[in-house]
Amino acid sequence: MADSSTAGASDSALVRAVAEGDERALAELYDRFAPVLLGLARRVLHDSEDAQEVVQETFLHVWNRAGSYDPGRSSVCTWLALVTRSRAIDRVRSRKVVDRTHAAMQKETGPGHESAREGARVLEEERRRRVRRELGNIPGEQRRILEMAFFEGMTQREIAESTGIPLGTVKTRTLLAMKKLREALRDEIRELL
Amino acid sequence: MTEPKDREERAILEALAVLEADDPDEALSRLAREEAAGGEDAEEILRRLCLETVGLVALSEEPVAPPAGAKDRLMAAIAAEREARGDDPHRPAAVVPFGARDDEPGAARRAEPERASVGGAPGAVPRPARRRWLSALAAGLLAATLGLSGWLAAELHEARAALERLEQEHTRLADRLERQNDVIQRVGASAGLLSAVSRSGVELCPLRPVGDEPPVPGAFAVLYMPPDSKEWYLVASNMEAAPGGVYAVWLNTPDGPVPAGVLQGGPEASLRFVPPRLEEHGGMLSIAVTLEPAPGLEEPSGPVVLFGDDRMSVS
Repeated sequence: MADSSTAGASDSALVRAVAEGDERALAELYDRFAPVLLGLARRVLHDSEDAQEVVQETFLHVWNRAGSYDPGRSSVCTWLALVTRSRAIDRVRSRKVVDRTHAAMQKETGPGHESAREGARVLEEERRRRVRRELGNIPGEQRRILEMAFFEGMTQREIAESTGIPLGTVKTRTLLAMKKLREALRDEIRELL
Repeated sequence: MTEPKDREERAILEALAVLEADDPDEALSRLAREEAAGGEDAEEILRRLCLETVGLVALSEEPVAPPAGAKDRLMAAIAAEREARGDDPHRPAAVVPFGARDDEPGAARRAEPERASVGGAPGAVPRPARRRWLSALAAGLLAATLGLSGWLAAELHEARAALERLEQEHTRLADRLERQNDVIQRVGASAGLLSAVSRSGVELCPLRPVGDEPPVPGAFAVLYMPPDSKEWYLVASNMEAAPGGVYAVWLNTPDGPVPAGVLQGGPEASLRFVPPRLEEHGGMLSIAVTLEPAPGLEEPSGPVVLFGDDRMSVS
């Protein structure tokens, strides 16, 4: 449904078009971001079906709330990531997924697929690899705390209670990890702005 | 709770607070409101950088292809929602002509008496009635055309107004993004300088005005020579704009002065430069800033504005 008139548009321009009721712009946003958002949702939910529903909800949210998006607050991909993550974590909290986790992991399908926009996809993959590399460079105890905050939706207090680490130590490790990441990912962040 | 030590820690905590919020849109709006209430640009940029870091980490997982039909189901759901709201884009615009409407009560009864009073053969419309009927039809079509034209003109006007609003908004956002990018670059440059000059083992050389009547009496500068760094930093204060010329920087060696660049005037000026291989010139004896008529000279010719020869090391 997306066509050449939307393929070259910036993410912010597409969201503006969606706010004006342009379905083609939404379709283009879906093509660009659905795969990474689905990866994020699966990471949080460990369930393919739930993850697909969350991604659908995210894009419906985009359709209904595109007018409230402000490019001065965040990039489009950060906005989408936050919405997807929030919905996924809401679903985790409202349902018991523990029993389904193991069975769902057996049915996971492979990653990625070829897209017509090969150039943008390659850039996205390269950026994602760099981010994962920098995450790997962070000391294990700091990385684990970030993962608990990012992908399990735990507050710092909950992390402290769950791990037995003092709250102050949790905060310190979080700050150190974020500082390292922000410095290491300077170029990647510039690409988003 | 320990208070954040610096801006960066505050920015990180605010970005993480968005993660912990139930509604990320509301959390982002709240951040924007706080910024609009009077935060500094540097803090705003740091907060944005930390927020984008959060976004990058969240999207670092392997992408997964949506299943076949997922996108079509989404677009179908949206089309259904539009139809339910009554703004189906495929529905043609309704044209309502002025004058009597067929669904008005009594419209049929009003038509009948007119036909009956004319008389004539049943089923045949007499000439005068036909003329009146044709006139009514022409009037109706004319009214419909005028109505449609008016409606289209109103729609066009509204579309133009909406386009103008969007263009203004786009310009505003583009300006804001440009300002933010400018601040990011300046913050990045400042961060680079700070990182270099705060390194352990950095050497310093202060520069001061010389002579009884120095050209810029209140000026002061420091040359920072970080260890193991290819670049040196000259940071100056109170350098008024060079009158009719430029401030040239020279590294004085036993072989003579070696040019190092041009320092812009201003309350806070800095120069980042790669020093020449000073060992080839016998090492650096001192550093000087002179007022020259033009940049690019091979030897100093103007008065000395600043001079320094006292190197010290900071461990």
